[in-house]
Amino acid sequence: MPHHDGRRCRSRAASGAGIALLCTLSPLSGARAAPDASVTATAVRSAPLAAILAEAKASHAPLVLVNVWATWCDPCREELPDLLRVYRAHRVEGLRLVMISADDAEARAQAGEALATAAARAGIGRDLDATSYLKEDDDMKFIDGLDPRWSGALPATFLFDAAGRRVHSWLAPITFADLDPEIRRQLTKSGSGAKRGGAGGAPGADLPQTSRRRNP
Amino acid sequence: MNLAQISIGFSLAVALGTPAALAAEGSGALALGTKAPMATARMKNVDGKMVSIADVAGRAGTLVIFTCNHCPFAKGWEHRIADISNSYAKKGIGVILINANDPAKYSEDGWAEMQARAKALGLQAPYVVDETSAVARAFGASVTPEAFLFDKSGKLAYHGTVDDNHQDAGKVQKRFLTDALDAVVAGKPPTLPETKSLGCGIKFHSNS
Repeated sequence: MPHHDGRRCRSRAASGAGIALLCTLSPLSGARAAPDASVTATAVRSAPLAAILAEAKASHAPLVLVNVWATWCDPCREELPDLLRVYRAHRVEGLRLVMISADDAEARAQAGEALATAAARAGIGRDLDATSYLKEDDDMKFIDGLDPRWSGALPATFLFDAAGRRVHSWLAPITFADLDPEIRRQLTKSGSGAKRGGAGGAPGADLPQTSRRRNP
Repeated sequence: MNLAQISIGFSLAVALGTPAALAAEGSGALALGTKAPMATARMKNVDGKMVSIADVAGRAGTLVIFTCNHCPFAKGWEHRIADISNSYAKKGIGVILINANDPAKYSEDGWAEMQARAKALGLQAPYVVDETSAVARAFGASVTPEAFLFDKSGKLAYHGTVDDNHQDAGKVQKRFLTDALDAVVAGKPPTLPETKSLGCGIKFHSNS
């Protein structure tokens, strides 16, 4: 499968489900230099939501955390460190992070730089294997495709299980304390947390849950 | 199986994982058919006068838009919002623009900046301050810009966004708000009564 923009991508046959394109951090050949020379910009590519979610499912990760953000959105940038801390804490248990930017296509390089800088500050640096996209769909299709209860206010974060079911939505800025217990609970439920010693959470309903805290 | 088939399958899985009861809850905003809450609450306009939603109610309907100065989406639509406000006022639609953001979080959303923006846009409708965000909370508004259009009987007929392209007015294909306004002016229900767009979360005042 071809790849562009200097991404280091690998094709992987997803058991009977086609091809998943997984991109990891690598230099962006055509991108502007990152402000911090020690940071390599994260590759960001445009894709429709259905393809993004299909790729996430095909990765066979037990949990996929999807965050919708934008470079110009202050609450989005403010929550990035906590989001990345949660990812760093649980990626060994299979948590996958998918970042979807609502920026204009012209801000692609800027989005990659912002993510890479935040990752470096979170102590993940070049090990960040989050997959990053620019939103391609029209807004209503995109919003309702993630959660019909979502108004479209940025930022928003969604948790999907291995079967591609949405199991939780955070429709407001998040903190580590918001995400961590739910991710622990879901990892335990999936067996991934328990296998790797993750702390279990209180048993809860099997229905998708929503946390609706007002923007600060 | 190709990527499209995977996508369809995945979308179905997502859909099946969403209980209908939860999906029907919407975003918590005012339900269609209900009347404007806090309609008599007076808010400070850019001209210094106190104005309520009831004060601006039009004979054909009333348009309430929660917006602000700083948000890139609000900026993208601001000229279209001003044009719509000014033109539909002549068709009997009362219009009020409400800024519920806490200017302590974005100084660009302060009253003086609102005055400058209203003047620059040639805005004829009131652009008022919801100084505790109480009105936005009562509406269940959560994003800027977010429009609530009430028909001539005062019932919510349309809730949602302006159109399908905040970046470029020349590339708009679906004019949600003006379609709804035309319907309300004609005394008919809008064909598409609820729409959505990405936007900035309202920066609610925390002292209320």
